[in-house]
Formats: sequence, structure tokens, C-alpha cells
Amino acid sequence: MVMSKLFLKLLRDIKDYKGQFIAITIVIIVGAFFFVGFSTFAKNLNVYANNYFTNTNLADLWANYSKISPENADKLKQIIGVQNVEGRLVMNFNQKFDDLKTTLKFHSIAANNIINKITIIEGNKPSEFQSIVLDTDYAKEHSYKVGDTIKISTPFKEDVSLKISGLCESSEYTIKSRDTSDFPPNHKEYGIAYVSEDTMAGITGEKYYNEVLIDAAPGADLKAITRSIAEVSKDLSYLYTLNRDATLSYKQFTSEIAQQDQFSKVLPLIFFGVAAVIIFLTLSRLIDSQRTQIGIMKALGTRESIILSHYLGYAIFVGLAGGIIGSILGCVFFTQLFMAQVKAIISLPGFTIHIYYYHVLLALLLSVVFGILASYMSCRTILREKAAEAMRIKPPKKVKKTLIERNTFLWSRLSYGSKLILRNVFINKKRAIYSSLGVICCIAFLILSFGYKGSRALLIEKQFTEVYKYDLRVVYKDPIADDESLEIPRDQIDYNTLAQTSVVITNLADEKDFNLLITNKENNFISNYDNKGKLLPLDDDGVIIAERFAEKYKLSIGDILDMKLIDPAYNGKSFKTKISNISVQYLNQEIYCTPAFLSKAEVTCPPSTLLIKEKDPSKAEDVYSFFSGRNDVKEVKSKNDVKKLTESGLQNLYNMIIVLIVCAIVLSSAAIYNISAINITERVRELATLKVLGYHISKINNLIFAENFFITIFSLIIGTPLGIYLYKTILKAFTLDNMVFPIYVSLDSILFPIIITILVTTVCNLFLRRAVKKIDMIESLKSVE
Amino acid sequence: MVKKLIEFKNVTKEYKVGEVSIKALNGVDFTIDEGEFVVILGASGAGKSTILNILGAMDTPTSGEIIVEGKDITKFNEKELTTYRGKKVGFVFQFYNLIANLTALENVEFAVEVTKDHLDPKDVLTKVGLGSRLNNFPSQLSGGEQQRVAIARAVAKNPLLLLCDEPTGALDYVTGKSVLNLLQDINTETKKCIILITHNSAIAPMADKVIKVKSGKIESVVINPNRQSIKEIEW
Repeated sequence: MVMSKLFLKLLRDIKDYKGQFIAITIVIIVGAFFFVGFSTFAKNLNVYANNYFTNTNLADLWANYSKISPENADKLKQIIGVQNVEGRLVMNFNQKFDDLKTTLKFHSIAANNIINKITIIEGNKPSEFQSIVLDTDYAKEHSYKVGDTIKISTPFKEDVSLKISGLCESSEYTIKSRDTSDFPPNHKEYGIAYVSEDTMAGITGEKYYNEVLIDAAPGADLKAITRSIAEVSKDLSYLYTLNRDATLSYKQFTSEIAQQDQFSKVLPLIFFGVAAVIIFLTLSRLIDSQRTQIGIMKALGTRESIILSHYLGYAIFVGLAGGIIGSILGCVFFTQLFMAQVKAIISLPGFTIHIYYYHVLLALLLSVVFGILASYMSCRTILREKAAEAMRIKPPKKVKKTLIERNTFLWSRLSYGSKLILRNVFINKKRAIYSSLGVICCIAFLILSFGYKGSRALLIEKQFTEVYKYDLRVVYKDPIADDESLEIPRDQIDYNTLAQTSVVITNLADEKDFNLLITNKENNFISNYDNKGKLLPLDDDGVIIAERFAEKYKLSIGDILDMKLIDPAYNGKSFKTKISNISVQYLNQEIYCTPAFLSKAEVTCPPSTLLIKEKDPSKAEDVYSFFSGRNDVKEVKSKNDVKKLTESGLQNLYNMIIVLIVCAIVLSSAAIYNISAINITERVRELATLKVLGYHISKINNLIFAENFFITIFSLIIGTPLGIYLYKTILKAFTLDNMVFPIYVSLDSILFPIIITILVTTVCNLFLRRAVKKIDMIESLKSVE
Repeated sequence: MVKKLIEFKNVTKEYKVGEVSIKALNGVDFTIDEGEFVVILGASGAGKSTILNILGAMDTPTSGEIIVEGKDITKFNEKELTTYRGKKVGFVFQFYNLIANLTALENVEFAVEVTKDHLDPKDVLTKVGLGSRLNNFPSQLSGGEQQRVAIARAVAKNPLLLLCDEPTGALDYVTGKSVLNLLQDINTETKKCIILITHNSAIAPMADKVIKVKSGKIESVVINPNRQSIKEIEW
């Protein structure tokens, strides 16, 4: 068969150009690896989350009351669109250890638990009196086993003993953070607990609820239900109703999914794009170099379709080989890497990776399509030529004097070698541009990756040095009535007071809750900046909100917000407030105002937190132990600890960026190797002639190296601004609800890619010295092929 | 009665290089009969190769008719031309033009597989004296051997005509002579029409017909009633 002979040729061609075959396969492997790995992981996370929320029947709305009787809670069932309701009492109790006081968020759980169903991992539900179910992370941190007894302290009763009947996970608390600042969650200090309604009543002394979970009918209008709840609860101590998006764990989890989703949509495509450009360039030049062979086949009367399929065969072969290897690596290695990271923060019972074959198929298709397209287009051009023409060497292009040549002063001073390089580059403009294009893509991608890495570091840096300028955050148990009379080491510290309460904004498309941070105008330990880096002072007329929040709801300075205080102590008090400034907040989204502003709205919220800056950093230990040793202090958080926690929370992202950088380096190495290798194979005869003329190998090497280097430098000049543009555009698109990446092009995010590119070019050329050495003068000149 | 096989009627070929057009062929007429051994003589650039390329459907003329077996091949479409190249024509080039990554045998096998009515590749290679080199790659063969593979490749297709473009151009005297001898033997044995291009007028006596080309025109057509064996010719 003709095909089988050509198949032999195909295999031998591959063997002859092993280096290029491997390089191009690697390019495809990287593309497929990223594509399949990312889409598989994001898809799995998405599907898992949806199933998990459906199977455990996650509530649609959380109606909050100061106190509601089970009978009144049941009445909410009559609201149109409500399928089911389940009341519960949620309260934070403490557990005291020698050097630690932890918080357990207690939930009473109905015997017939139908909404927010808990997933028992070990043991049984807390159906018996005085039994408790803890979340697995808290239990693990404290080495609790089923059957152990724990003691808790409550405002109602000191020392309540409860027996652990089981360990669980809840879809409501996939991320067990106490509040937005507790991310990544600290499982040692905060846990989730479930007890029966009778046990809870035993602690509090009476049976009542403060939260009603609402399971709405599919497609029901949640806003209408929220309004009805407020209507029905007019005479009750109703506070507010939150939807899923307003609950902390759900918000954080979905934003994690959204992050994965965004990455999985954009990054692999960029990768495949770069890979496609490289495949395209390499294959079309590879086929160009086979021009005479195509001419011979044509002269022999081989049908065009057969010649075409021979070269398409190479593309398919390479595409499938790379695509399959990349997909396997992506499914196994990539997903495992990210699974470990995600599981460290998010509780996902029973989360395993399923392979979606259409991701793999899509990756294979993409791998093959670009190759086929490139081969087809190059083949067509050659096949359109007459066989007699194709068999001849391409006639040399008319040599026009280059711009530099016209400048005789400069030209006469160049060495013969440099003249040759310049002529080569300018005569083969197309080849030079093709080569540059590959390198340009790589450099742009490297800048994106390094820029990303820099932004992540900068995000932490900015938040913890520019925004937070304090060293310690000390929270007192009781509100501080007068900070002047506080017993503190005034000679060692500077301090500012901070009050904090939660609010819901009620006049936007969704109800949304925020931390309202109340502090003095003079407070310079927490600073707000606008997007140009200008410091924004607080004033007594309005609040400062986060830029993302403003963008999402199209708010601008001067707009009015309806704020409702969530804390039951305020009895649902609400007031209007003006937006006086909009600040960039890298982590979290908070609202800042002054006590004077609040008092205008007739609200007082005494501070309970001190922001402390040590005067003498060497005494930091003393200050810390002074506060942590006091009985009236609830907690002392060092900024550096929080910073470390945040860093580890962003570890997932960091790992991804490292994978990104490694892939970008591999990609550019393969691309540059390929381009340099083709530059040699295309010019074997020319190089052989130089050898015949007695050029020393090192001189030939220098010529090639200089030419490739010239191309690399040219690419750097074009690729660098392109990379910066890519970085800015993509990072802007990657803004998440609780994370804004500062866009800043640092010197090293440009310098590293440039150094890497130059280094890779050098290494590739060193590798290719062997290829030049191997050129056989006689063989190359003997026949025109 | 000898049958007319090929007829060139007022064939012209122009190449455009930039704004200048060069007439490679300027009204070429000649006929070739079945079984003839034809030598086309001419200096470099006279238009010999253009004639051969056009006859072999590797190139198309600007105007004129080329009748092969009663059909005008200038009217053929791309597909018919490919079939014509595959079945009717066997090419031998100055620089052999073998496919580098196929062995001697595979090169021949590859070529014959476009036509059903072909000869056995191994037999043909043995006949040209390469029975022991079947599995060598072109790079492992000498120039003369490579040209024999090329001839075997052309002959094995069992084509209507064998077109040889300076087949000895890259070979030494002795090797070149043995290649010509091989071609003459093939012509005698198989009665295949062979058209050979050369600038070496000394070998003209080996042909049945000698066509001289000069500046894109036919200078003369001479018929040798008694052609000589190449063995008797010295130059």
C-alpha cells in the first residue's frame, strides 16, 4: 500500500528529527495537561458542590430572630413558595483549655432534620440527651473520638458535660471560618457543634429558636419570600433574612469555585493558544523543508490527497501522542495537586475526581486540529506549485539592500559575520517573523506568570503593610467604655480603638451583609487608598466602601445606602448613609465609618478592639504576653500570624502559579529549541558550504547563535509590552469577591522572563552545536534534496 | 507501420520573472514514434528540460498542443495529469531524487503502487544490478547506484515513456556509460519509448532520433536509421 510506505517514511522522518518531534510533543503535552487538568478539576468541584448542596438540602433562606417559638416558626411554612421550614437555636459557646479558649457554634438540630442535613462521618446523630456531634476538623485538632466527653461553658450554665456521639460535616459549613477575617479557617479555635433540641433547651432553660431555615420551592421568588417573612414576622422579634450568597461559608466556597472556574476557562485556552502558534510555525516550516520531497512524490504521480494525508499524519501523530500523555498527566497529577490544596481549606466529604471524557476528547481535538490546519495550509501552497518547480530549490529571493546596508558608514564597519546575519534575517523576513512569533508568545506568557506571582505577593504585602499598619489586634470581652482609663503599657505602645458590628445593605438588588468597622478619623493603623494610591481619610458624613462592591452594584460617591444593624441588641435599627469614598480593598470587603458619623444616626457602638503598634519591636513579645495574659481580653491576634495564615490560604493559588511558570518555561524551551533547530535544518546546505569553505565549526556556531539571538532580542522587544498588556487584562478579569489583585509591573516580573528566555536560547543553541557538528559536508552537497 | 506516440504542436512556454517575461519555448513542433530512443540535445538553458517537464506533466505550457496517444494532455485537469504522471510516465532525474527515508526497494515499491499494471520491484532492481542492495537507504548508495534505483523506479511502473533528464550528469564516465547502456538495453528489450536529455552530443548516435534544441526552438530533427550501441561510442 502507498500509505504503508509513506507511514514508514513518517516514522523515519520522526526518528530523523527526534528533537523537534519531542519538542513539539512537549508543547502539546503542556497544553493538554493544563487544559484537561484544570477543566476536570473545576468541573468536578462544580458538580460535587451542586450535588452536595442538593443532597443535603441546603436552605435557600436563613430567617433570623431574637427569639421565636416553634409554633411561630412553623407558620412561615404558609408563605407562598416555601416548601419546608426548620427552626433551630444557634449560639456560640466556649470551651476552655489551659492556654486557649475556643468557640463552638452550637446548633439545635430537629429530630427530623430535613434542611441543612448533616453528613455523619463517624458515629451517630446527637439524638440522645446530653450528646453532641462535632465537626471533624475541630475534633481532629483536639484529638476527640466518638464516646469522649467534653465540657463547655455557656452564659446560662458553667460546665455543661456532653458526650460526643458522632463527627459530621455540613454543607452549610464547607469552609469553617468564624468571620471574613478568619480565612483560611482556624479549626483549632473555632468549631461547629450539633445537639438535640432537648439538650439545647436543657442548656438555655427553655425551648425556642432564633433561626428558621427556609427551603423554597424550585424557581420561587426568594425576594418575595423575604418580604413575606418580614410581613408575617411584624409582631415578632424579627431581625433579617439572608440568602445563600450572604452566608459566609457558601460565599467563600462559591468564590473558590468561581476562581477555579475562571482559571479553567481562560488559562488553558491561552496555553493552548501559545501551543497552537508554536505547532503551527513548526509544522509549516517542517513541511516547507520537505518541499523537494513533495515535488518528487508529485512527479511520481502520487495523488495529492495521499501526499496531504502523509503530512497530516505527522500532525495527527504528534497531536495524539502529546494530547494523550498530557491528558493523563493532567487527570492524575494536576487534579491531585489541587485536590490536596482545596481539601485543606474546604470540607468536602466524599469528594473524588471523575474523568469527563469530553474534556479529554476536546483536548485531543484541539491538539490535532491546529497541527492539521498548519500542515494543510503549508502542503496546499507547495502542492499548488508545478512538480518541476517544487523539485527545484526555491529560487533565492532578490537581494535588496537593507536599510543598514545603505548606511555605508555603519555597514563598512560590520564584520562579514554580522553582515551575513543581517542579510539572512532581512532576506528571510518571513522566517524571522515566524520564529519571533513563537518566542514572543512565550515571553508574553512568562511575563503573565511572573506578574501573577508578583501580584499575589503584592496583595499580601499591601494588605499587611499599607492597609494594616498595626502589630496586634486585641479584642476585649466587654466594650471599652473609656480607653483613657484602660490598664495598658502606654509607654511601650501606640494604639487606636476599633469597633465592629455587622450590617445588611437593604436597598440593593440582593441583601448583603458587611462588617462595619468604626474607628476615629485619626486612626492611621488601618488605611484606605483609592485606586491611584491616594490616602483616603474618613469623614463624619459618610462611609468608605470597597471598590469591588461599588463596581458590582454600580455605586458611586454620593450614593445613599440603607443600612440595617444585624446585632439583636439594636432591634433591627436601620438608617441611611452616604458613600463618601470608595477604596481599594485587596482582601475582604468592609465598610468604614467614624463614631461621630454613627452618633448622627443615633447609634452608639462602643469599641472592643485595640489596634496596637509597638514602639520598640524588640519588646514585641512582652506586649503580646501582657495582653494575652489578661482576663478581660478575649483574643490577641498578631498581624504577622494573620499574614502567615493568609499566605497559606493563598497557597492553592501559589501552587497554581508555580505550575503555570514551570509550564511556561517548558513551553518556551520547546519553542525556542524547535525554532533554532529548524533554522539549522533549513540551511544544512548553506552550513555545509561554509564548512567546505573551511569555516571553523565554532565560527559557524557563532553565526547561528548570533542569528537566533538576534531573533530572541527582537522578540523580547515586541513580547515584553505584549506580556504586560496580557498580564494587566487577565488580572483585571480575575477579580474575585474577596480578593483583588494589585496590578503592578515589577522589575523582576519583567527581568526574570527576559533572563529565562535568553538562558533558554543559549542552552538550546549549545544543544544544537551537535547538530551542526553532525552536518556532513559531502552528503549535504551531493544531491539536491 | 510505426505508430505516432507523441506530437508537440507549436508549444510555447513563458516564465515571468518580475516584469520581464522569458520565452523558454518558442513554438516547438516535433513527433516521437512508439519504441523510439530519442535524444534531445542542446546547450544549457536551450529549453530541453522545459520540454521534458511539460511532456511529463510536471509543468504546463503557455500555449500549444501536446498529443500523447491521441489525447491532448494540455486539456487535462489536475487529477487526470496526476494519473497520467503516475501511469504513463517514468522519470529519471539528474540528481536521482529518491525519497531519502525509504530504502531502494521501498522507493520502487512506493512508485509502482499508483498503477496496477506494474513490474515486480525486486526483479527490476535485480535487473539493474542492485539485487544485493535492496534494503539500503539512498545515503548508503553511490551516485551510480542511486541512479539505477531511480531508473528501476521509473521502469518498474511499466510506463508508456521513460523521460530522462541528464541522467548521467552527476556521474563519472564509466558509471554514466553503464547507466546509458542500461537504458538502451531496456529500450531494446521492452520497446519502451525513451526520451533522454543531454548536452553531450557525442552520445547522439545511440538514439533513433536526435532533436536539437536552441534558444527555445527546434534546430533540427535527425533520424538515425542505424543506431549504434553505446558500448561502441567513446567520448
